[in-house]
Amino acid sequence: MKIFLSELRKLKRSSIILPLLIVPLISVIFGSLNFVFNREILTREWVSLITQVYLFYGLFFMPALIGIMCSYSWGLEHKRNNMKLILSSKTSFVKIVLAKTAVVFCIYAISQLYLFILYLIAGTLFSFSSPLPLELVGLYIVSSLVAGYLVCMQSYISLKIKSFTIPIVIAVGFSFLSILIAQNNVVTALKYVFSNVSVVLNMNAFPDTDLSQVDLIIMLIMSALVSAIFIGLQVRELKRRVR
Amino acid sequence: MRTSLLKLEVLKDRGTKDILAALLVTLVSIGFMSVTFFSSDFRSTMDTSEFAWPKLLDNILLMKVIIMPVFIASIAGRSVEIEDAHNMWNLIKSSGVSLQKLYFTKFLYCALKLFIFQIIDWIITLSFIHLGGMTQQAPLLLISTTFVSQLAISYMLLAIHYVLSLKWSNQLISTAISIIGALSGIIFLLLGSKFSSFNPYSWMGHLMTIGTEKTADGWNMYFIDQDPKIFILSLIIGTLILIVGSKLMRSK
Repeated sequence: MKIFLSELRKLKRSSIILPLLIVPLISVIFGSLNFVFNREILTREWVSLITQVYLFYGLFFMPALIGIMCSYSWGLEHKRNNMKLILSSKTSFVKIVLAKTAVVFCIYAISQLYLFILYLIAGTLFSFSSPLPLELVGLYIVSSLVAGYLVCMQSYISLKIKSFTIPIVIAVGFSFLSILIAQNNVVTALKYVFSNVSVVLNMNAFPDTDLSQVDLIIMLIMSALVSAIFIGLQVRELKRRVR
Repeated sequence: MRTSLLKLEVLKDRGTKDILAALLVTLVSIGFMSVTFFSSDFRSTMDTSEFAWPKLLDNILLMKVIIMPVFIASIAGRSVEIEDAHNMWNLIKSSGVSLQKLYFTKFLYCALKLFIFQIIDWIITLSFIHLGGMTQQAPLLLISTTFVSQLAISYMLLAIHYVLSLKWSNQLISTAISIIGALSGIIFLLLGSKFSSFNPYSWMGHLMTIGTEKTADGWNMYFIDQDPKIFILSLIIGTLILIVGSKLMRSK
């Protein structure tokens, strides 16, 4: 907990909050505008609105924001020999990596909540006649949770690459590739690996989703597994640097 | 002097992962285009349809709207980050090098790098289309104008992010703006040309040449002329930003 708080303190005075506030806001404002201009096609109220608000955000910009957070978090250590302090500290590498990952994940979770609140406000302003489908809320929560592996993966990339921006380009590039792989369904099992993309794409087709509850559970397990692998890789990378 | 400064830039750039990022940009564009290229609908008409080539180019451009701002911000950021990292600006100043000259040399190096990346990107993409079985002759005029306009827009975006990176040593600002720009760019395109004309981050999308309209039979495609204003405006805005930004070097 102590390390978690100290990691949080490092980010406290940074400007990391700005993109997290602005990007979801832009997504909701312009998604809503697009919804208004195309109301004759977009007739499914809450479902149509979330496709406008969350499709591009969930597929491309949320991974990029995760990339920014991880890059910033490790960027602080890459600067001014802070990495040497980490490598020589008494705290175990596992704890350091877990604390960093947890902090980024918490901030990301808050930004997802913030986006959802903005979406609810926009939907309320449109005075939809139908209620918000609870399954859609469930899918949103699952899509946010399964993206946890992106936090661990980006954290590993940001630890490996010193540059602030290259990991973010990789995040955006990776999100495109995962869309291609998940959408084409060439290897069915890969939809579980790129689960965040699969869930977002299914939200777009809601209520005709082809994801069962079992699928969602497998996705959560896969995400946890991939996360564990990348946490392990981060610890290994730190150990390698000591040698 | 400029040649030696350029050589130094090349040396500083060794070992960076820009090549990796550039390859990823190409891979992503090709990947996205492949969805259309290898679809049965497209392949059944690709030898005869006049929309075949423009459709593929439009796919590539749509991806570029999202990915290029981030990639360009990374190139500009990296160039400034190297000097910021160990406060090299002071060292450079004390060695008698004009910071103004360094400012333009660094930008020139970034622009050259971007130019080379874009040439390679197009060679790989066009080869991929050719090897993928496209038999129609490539529309050289359309490809050339798209290439040149894309280069002009990239130049403008590079100038924006280069100046932003110099203004704020925290690269978070420039990168965040690139992401916000990309997001707004794609959304403005969806909102229509009245909106997207005002957002430079949408301009790569303005190079797309196929429009669609809804008719009683479904969606119909039609051609849109590329707007030469984009090319000219990009060059003017980019140059203006670069000149205004050069004043920032005085505070270094």
